[in-house]
Formats: sequence, C-alpha cells, structure tokens
Amino acid sequence: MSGDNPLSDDVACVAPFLDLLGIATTQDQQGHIIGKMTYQPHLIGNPNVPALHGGGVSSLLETVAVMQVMAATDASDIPKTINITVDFLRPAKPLDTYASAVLLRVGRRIATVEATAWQESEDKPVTSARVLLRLR
Amino acid sequence: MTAEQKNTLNVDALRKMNRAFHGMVPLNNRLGVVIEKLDYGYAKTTLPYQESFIGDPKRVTIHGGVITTLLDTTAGMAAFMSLKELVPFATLDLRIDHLASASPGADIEAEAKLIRHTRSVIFIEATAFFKGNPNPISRATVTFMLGTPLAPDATRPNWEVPV
Repeated sequence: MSGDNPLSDDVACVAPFLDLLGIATTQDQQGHIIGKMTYQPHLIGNPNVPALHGGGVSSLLETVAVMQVMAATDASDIPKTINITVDFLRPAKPLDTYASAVLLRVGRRIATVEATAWQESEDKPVTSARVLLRLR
Repeated sequence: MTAEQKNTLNVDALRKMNRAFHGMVPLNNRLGVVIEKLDYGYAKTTLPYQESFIGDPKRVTIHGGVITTLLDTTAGMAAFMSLKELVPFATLDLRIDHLASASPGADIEAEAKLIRHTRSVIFIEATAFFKGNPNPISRATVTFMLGTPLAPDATRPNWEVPV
C-alpha cells in the first residue's frame, strides 16, 4: 500500500482520541472517505502474534463510518453511534491500516453504514463493522 | 463452580497482573486501563478519564472507540479468566450498544462476565459505567475463538496469572 498511499501524512487529526490513535481521514474525488491509522507501537493489543488491538481498529472503522455519513449529509454535528458490530476477519498486523465505508441507508434520523479495514491489500479485509448512527 | 467458590485474586496478585498486563498490551497501557478485580470468568477494570479520549470536540463527548477498546479488553480478560487450559484465543466479533452518551470527565468502569464456554468459543458480556453511577452507558457481547493447546515444549507467552 506504499506506492498508492491515498493520504498525505499531514492530514490534520480533528479529535484528541484520533490523535492518540494516529487516525487521519481524507476524501477522494468521488467523495469517498478513506481513513488511515498510522502504525505506532502503542496500538498493539497482542504482542505475541503480534497484532493490533481490536479496539483501535474498531475506532478507525467507527470514524470512517461517521465521516462518510457527514460527507453525504453535509452535517455539521457528528452523528452519535447507537451501536457497532465488529467482525475480526484476520489478525491486524503491526502495519498502517486503511478503512472506508459504504452507506447502506441514510434516512432522516438514522444511518446504517458498513465499514471495512485493510492493510496490505484492499481485497483482504482485516476487520469489518456495521455501524448504526443517529443523525439528529 | 460459582464465582464465590473460587478465590478472588488478592491485591498483591492484582498488582502483579496489572504490571504484566501493561507490559503485554501497549494500547491498554497508553489508555491507562487498570484491573480492579479478576475471578473465574470475571473481570472488572477502570479507565481514569483523560482529555485525549474526546472524539467530538464541539459537543465534548468521548469517542465511541474508547468504550469499544475498554469493553473489548475487559471481555478479553474475562475470557482469559475462563480458560480451562492455557490456549491462545482470538476475538471473533463484538457488538456494542451505546445506551447513553459518554460525556467526559468521569472515570469509566467496565465489568465482563462469562456467559458460556463451549469447546471452541467463549461468550462474554461486558458493561461500561461511569464510576459511581449504576446506569450502564454501553453494553457489549463479545465472542472469542479458542486455539489449540500449546505443545509442552512450545515457547509459552508470558501471560500466566501470577497467584
């Protein structure tokens, strides 16, 4: 993923917790949000594998889901997460992790979003999540 | 066997466990997760509040990922405390319902309990609270897949419970 890195390294982190995890997001020309969680040693959850902590990858997925909904609705307030269901498909290696989200439905009050995270190759997802958000 | 029939780990053992655990799980160390109590199929943790947990600077709320990480971690400890033998295990999935907004300032507590231990899967339920408030802020169901027992001569990960 190094040759076609969709993100510049200087994308501003907007919230303290995203800063802590090293999560930055950018939007491509088609309006798709791409999130990047830059690898840092403190993101490790299991040093024996070694693998990233599921909580960090889940945070990346929730973030891209929220940002994609905000991009689609021109919302100024951050939608609130009602629930999130996360499937850990493969161990997340100590590498940079990317994520994007697909809007399944955006209603007046509720949005249902599916977010996927990958590392070396986009067609080998490491984690996927279904996120239900309350818009207002 | 009920939880009462098992001895709760004493303070000294908990202190050792906290040390081992922080060396073991860097993200928990970075967030400052503290183990309060461990028992058979049970774990209780505290997450002292930090400003770096804020996810929405405008409305000043905690990022959902903070709770997800805490509940995942606490559920993992309860799963570890349910093991009948030392086998590696991995999180299969988790689902979290956010029952109330996590407004910042207060320390967060999490409690995880074993629901069922089958041959290959452990089911855990975990709940997060603001310290001193009995109304849960979030609830999680987490499933873990058990691996195969380690060979006797295998290099064992350093995760034995110090008792």
